[in-house]
Amino acid sequence: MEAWVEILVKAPDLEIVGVRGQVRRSGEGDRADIAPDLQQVLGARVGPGIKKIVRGLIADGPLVETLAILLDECCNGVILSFTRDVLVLAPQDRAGEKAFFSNMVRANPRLYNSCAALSADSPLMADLNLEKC
Amino acid sequence: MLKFARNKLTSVYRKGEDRLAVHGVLEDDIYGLEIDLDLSLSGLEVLSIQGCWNRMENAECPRALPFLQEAVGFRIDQDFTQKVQKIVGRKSCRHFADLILECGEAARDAARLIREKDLEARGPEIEVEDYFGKAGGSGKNESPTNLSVKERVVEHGREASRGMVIDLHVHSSPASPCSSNPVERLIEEARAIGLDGICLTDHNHVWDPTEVEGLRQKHGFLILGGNEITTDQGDILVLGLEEDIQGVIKLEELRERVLKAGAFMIAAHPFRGFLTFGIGYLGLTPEKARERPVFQGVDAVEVLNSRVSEKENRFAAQVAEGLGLPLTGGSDAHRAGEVGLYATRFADPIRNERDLVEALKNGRFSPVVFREQ
Repeated sequence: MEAWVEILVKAPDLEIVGVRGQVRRSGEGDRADIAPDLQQVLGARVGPGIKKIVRGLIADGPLVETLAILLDECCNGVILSFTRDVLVLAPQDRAGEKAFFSNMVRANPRLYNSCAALSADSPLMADLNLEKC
Repeated sequence: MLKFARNKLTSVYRKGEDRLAVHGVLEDDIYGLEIDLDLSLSGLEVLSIQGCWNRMENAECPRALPFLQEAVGFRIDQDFTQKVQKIVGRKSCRHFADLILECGEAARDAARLIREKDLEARGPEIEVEDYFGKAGGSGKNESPTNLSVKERVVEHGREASRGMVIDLHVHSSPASPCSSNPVERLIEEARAIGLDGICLTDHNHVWDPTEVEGLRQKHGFLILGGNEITTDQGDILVLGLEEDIQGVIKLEELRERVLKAGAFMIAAHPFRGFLTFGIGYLGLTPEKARERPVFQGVDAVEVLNSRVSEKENRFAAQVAEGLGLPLTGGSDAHRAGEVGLYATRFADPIRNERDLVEALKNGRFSPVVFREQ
């Protein structure tokens, strides 16, 4: 299998305004036309829930799982490019790091308990009083 | 200008007659991690897993490593993705989960190639089951629950003085796989904190009206059946539509069906996660946000939701108010302890789903912070 997908995302809404791709080689036939499936994601916005939306929008077919993975990865890249810009600001010292991640979770409660590092018993969350989470 | 790059590499080795070894590497501008998986070839079952960090986000990321063991015993089948994301992704780290899934895909492809080569070597006398595996698995149907209904009058003693306060957005288990509490526990909690009712809005799940009525009678408490439907424009709470909609539907198609049924649509948590990087950073203003298609296709906007930040709730309210759309509140509870964090106060009495839709259409309601009252 050899394939590529590109998405064009418009700021500030992170709406997918362009998408293209090609399957260069696959067990399902090299000339598979993936354009109609890819076009289905136009108008969706990169953000929480996008994986489910992408999988739901593209039709069933032998290459759907591959296309979903490629599109997911594109969306991940968009989000992580912003995440990186935030994370480079994290202090290196222990106290500074703790305060930084506490504030990050306070501003984004969905991050709380979203992984081992941000779990309730993690030292990074020790000072966080987030009753609602 | 390249803003971000991620590379993933997976390699699959045949270690023995029935053993595959998979090595995965993920490298991007933030994270660097590797895993080694051992799988059985016949069952594609994870036999062992080891992981390590090469570069991580913070000093506590190593806490993720012991939880990788949760994946031992998983089979690469149709539930694999969900189990890895839900269990490894949350307890350990979603980037390790991502890499495990990549390794799983590679192992599945490798197993297919190995099987094809084995078949070639064995010659043409092959049974269909040898090739595709034997049918079976986890698809057993559960028998329906026998519902015992006791007649009891639902009382709403305080409704005259303060209206009715209903949590319009509640998830229950097992209807919502992401929820951890059965409906009985949610009802118990809702009653204990003084709510007048809850609306069950499980993901793409239609509650049987008879079952909901049975719950109302059994518990003497107002329980309403709703639905949270995934559209291409995000999640929508739908009240008054009994149609079972699976997968992801286009917003305009859902709107058509809702209008036909006389139902009601609420944009659920419309800015969840969108302000993570700061409104200023992306330049998203309420004026620009109002242009989103979702706001042209709903009847109201959820502006109090406990699973988003206060900033995102405030932003949703600014957008909705600018458009003149009514505002609602709902906890989006996935655990009993979250029920009623936010709710909606109705001026009109509500006894069932029909009353709810009517009250929503009358517009005499407002979102409330409930638990802090």
